[in-house]
Amino acid sequence: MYDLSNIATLAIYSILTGGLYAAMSYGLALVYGVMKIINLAHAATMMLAAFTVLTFNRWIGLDPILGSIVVLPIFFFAGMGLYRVAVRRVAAVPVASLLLLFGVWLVAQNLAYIIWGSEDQSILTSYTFATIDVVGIKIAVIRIIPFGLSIVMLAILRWFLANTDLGRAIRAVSQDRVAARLAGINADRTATLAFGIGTMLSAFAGGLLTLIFSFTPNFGGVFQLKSFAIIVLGGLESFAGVALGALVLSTIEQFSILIPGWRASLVNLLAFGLLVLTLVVLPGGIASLFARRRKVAE
Amino acid sequence: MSLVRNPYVAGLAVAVLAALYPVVRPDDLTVLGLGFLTFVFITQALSWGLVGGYAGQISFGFAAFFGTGAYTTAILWSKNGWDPVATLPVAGVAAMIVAILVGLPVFRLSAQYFSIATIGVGEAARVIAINLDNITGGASGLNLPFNVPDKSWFYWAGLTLATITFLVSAWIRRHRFGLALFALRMDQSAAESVGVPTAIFKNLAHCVAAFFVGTAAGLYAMYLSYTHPDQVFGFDISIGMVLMNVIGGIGTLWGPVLGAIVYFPVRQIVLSDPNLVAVNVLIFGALLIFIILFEPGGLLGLLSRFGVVARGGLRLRPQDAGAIVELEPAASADDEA
Amino acid sequence: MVRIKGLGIALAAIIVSAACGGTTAPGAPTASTAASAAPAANIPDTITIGAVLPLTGSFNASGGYFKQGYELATKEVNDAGGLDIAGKKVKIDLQILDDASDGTKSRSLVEQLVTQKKPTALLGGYDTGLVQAQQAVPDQYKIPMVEGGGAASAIFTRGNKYLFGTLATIDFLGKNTMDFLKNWIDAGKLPKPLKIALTWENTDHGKDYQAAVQAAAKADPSRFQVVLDQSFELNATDFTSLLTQVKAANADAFLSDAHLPDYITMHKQYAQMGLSHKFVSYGARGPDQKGLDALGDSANYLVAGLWWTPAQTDKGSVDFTAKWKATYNATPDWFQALSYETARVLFAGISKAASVDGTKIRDALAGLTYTNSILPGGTIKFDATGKPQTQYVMVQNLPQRKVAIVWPKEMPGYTDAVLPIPGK
Repeated sequence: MYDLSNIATLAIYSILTGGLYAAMSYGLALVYGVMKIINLAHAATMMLAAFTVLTFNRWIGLDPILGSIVVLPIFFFAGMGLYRVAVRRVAAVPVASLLLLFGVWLVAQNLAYIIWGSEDQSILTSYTFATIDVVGIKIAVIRIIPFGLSIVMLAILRWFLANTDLGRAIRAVSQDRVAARLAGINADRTATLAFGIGTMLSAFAGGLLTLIFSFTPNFGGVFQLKSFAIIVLGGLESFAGVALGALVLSTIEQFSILIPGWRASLVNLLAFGLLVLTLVVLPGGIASLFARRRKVAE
Repeated sequence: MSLVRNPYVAGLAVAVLAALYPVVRPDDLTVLGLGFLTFVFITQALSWGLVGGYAGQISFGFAAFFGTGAYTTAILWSKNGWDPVATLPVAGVAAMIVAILVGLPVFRLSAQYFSIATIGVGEAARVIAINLDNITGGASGLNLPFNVPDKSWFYWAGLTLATITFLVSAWIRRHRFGLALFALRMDQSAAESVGVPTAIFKNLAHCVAAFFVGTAAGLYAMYLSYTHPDQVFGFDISIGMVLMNVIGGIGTLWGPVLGAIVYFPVRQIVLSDPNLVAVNVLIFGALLIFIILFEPGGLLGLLSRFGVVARGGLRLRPQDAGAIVELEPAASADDEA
Repeated sequence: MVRIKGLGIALAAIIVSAACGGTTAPGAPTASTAASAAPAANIPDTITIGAVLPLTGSFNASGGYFKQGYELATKEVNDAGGLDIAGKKVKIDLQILDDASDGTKSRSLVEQLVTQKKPTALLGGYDTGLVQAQQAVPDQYKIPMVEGGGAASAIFTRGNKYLFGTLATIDFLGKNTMDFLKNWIDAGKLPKPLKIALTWENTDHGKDYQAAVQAAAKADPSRFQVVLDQSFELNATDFTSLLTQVKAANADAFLSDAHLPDYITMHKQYAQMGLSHKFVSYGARGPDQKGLDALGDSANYLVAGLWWTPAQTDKGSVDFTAKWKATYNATPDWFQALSYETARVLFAGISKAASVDGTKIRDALAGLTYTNSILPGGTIKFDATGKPQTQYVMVQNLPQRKVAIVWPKEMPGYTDAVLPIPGK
């Protein structure tokens, strides 16, 4: 039966999984905040990053965590390029940009099939099975790392938005594009950089996911849908909100197993149900319950 | 000329021509089978166009209606012993009921949040369906009887349904209902301020669309003799309806028809070619990107450039942004100058 | 508003009347054009065999293996001069189309194949769902199909006359696993009663497995006690809460029916959480190369039930493995062996029928006992529903990526399983 250590295990993994979910949602939230578009190429970015990390790993034995960092410039420039060439032409029409990015996803998937084939790939490291004992509960190192990095990401993002010119420009454009332009901010340049950074964040998450999951060119779709639910829960435009939304979703998912008669195969219903429920009942997200509406910086 | 421009006459003329095919070539089962499925997709696309095109409410959750319709027919036919044909209107009505349950809360959202919410609705419906083992057969799907009418029958039934959907779409376009939908697409609050009950019209369009999608799904389940939640509630079904409209020309009458023809039979030809198989998704994705970037009016827009058809409908250009979402104050593309 | 509502009702009425009026002959299956019987003497120089496989989309890796298997079997026949039909050597023209892992396309393409290419017979698609989408076609057109890609028992409950399977259904897998466990409980290697934690993917695959394990446990309560029965979503992102439930169940044996990605993710988390059981099986997963790559030593001692394994030491299997390596430069797995055998069984059926007539081939297949099979047990035959009467072979992963055959005892190369799993 469930004893205290089982409940504690659920609690610990709620927090760790929350960190993982947050890491894979920041990029989506940033792009949404600045451009009000939903980046359907988010899954493609995560998948391509995972394969790039794998390629480096196979080629020169590069550690996947280091690999996730090494690939960042590639995806930063690729993201900016994608924005300049395609997304900005339709950026003012959210639905058109959504479909455009969906097209990018399809093309990326097919290219990945051609380049890497379709078999399940995974990376085995010396620490894949390493665990840390906390009061008798075993915690996997590869779950702690993404969690820790997710907190670091949150700290850097908040510092960046509060203390750099570009960060402040991003906040200004997110809040009010017209006012930002009147204040002399080049909204197009800001959006380009923001898209590059958002893509880079998605790529980083994709690289980290290789620690935990096996992947194919179809990888990422489930995570992408969960990320939608998370940024909606988080109020769509606040990174702290995203982290909170991720934690709420992961906690509900983990503890749902305690419901008598619950089928674990219903777990994705929680994310989709919360997505709809939040939009209808609480459009500002959970964060709006706690804070007055402050955008991006929070 | 004026007769050609009359959508009822033009639509019926095309339908009558199409209806002759099984008479001329009753043994061409390839075309009859492909034709039937194409009519199902045309019905889907036209129905989606009522909500996504005319009213500008881009939904990614129409699979919920398709799945409901397919399962209504499947269950009444295989478990309750109904004549499958008699289940079709029930399938439509069941889908309509789902449309009301979904629409009442979700249409309160602004257009873009509506789009996001429908993704959740569609996927939630799939997860529920795959876990309701006692009703839907769950992940095993439902196996249906093999004794179905012949291919010509399906061809004509599909054509009839697609034609009715087309005529309804044409009728809506020309009447107060359609004008109200166009008005709320342009500017919802302005429409409300002049007394258009936008919530009622949105839900009504949703119901009409769901009815046809559900009926088409019932026919589809009959034809396939098999239903599975991942196939009839799948996200592919929802996204397919969006793509057919975008490819053909969103917000137009003929665009969804054209889009469905490119989306299904043309793709099938690509899949049958061993040289193109490996890149079929790439070709399709590239076509989508091309249309969004260079011809937001879809194939219909492309044809109108060459003067083949008159320009119309809804375009996805930034300057038309207000048509589908609340206007963004500044189009970013201008910033460069 | 009233007018609009009226319209809706009118439309419903129109559809009903139009549809009913059109139903001239429900119940009359499509008249077949392809099956219009050719005289037995009139054997063509070439026959067409058709197949629709998922070469792109989510099942494309497996679809690719099936294509290779079909092609190898076809090439062998053609290289030997052709297939013997009533004394004449007939070349085989294999036509394969891609359904992109989509049910609607799969069905539609099989019909396209049948009506355009007029194949003599069909080979099946891959994955149960797509086979189920295709399976109305053989009976409607009276063209026999042999499939090796769909393993759900439900396939063979629909009254098909023209469909034959070679892939032993998953309920057999569950039953075989339980027979194996019973043997080791009686040998004193596993506790009695054996407390089982059972988890299964929520697919037809998983449901068959779960039903079989539950049935065997209910029939033998003195030996088996299922203490947890839980389903999970395919391609789940996290199994920690499920595994916590498994842990809380305090079972002796952990049985989990999963596809490859979920097996990798779940067993990784299983090992990281420090779970251990006296017996662990992931259904048909275990010795997969990709799984061993991802899981390293943590995959040791897992037991799997397979349709074929390259560890088999019978001459046919050894030859097949060598042939496959020479042709495709890769070690074959059960996908390749099953597709190869599926094609060979169909060819044997056509040869036995001594005819290219669909109904005659169907009758020949129904009465066929194919004895030179490389599948476990060495023979393939079908029951009255077309369901295969073939066996599973159970294997256990051993250190240094060795794979041992541990069931059934009659298999060449059998060794005793290492049970209970050595503690770490």
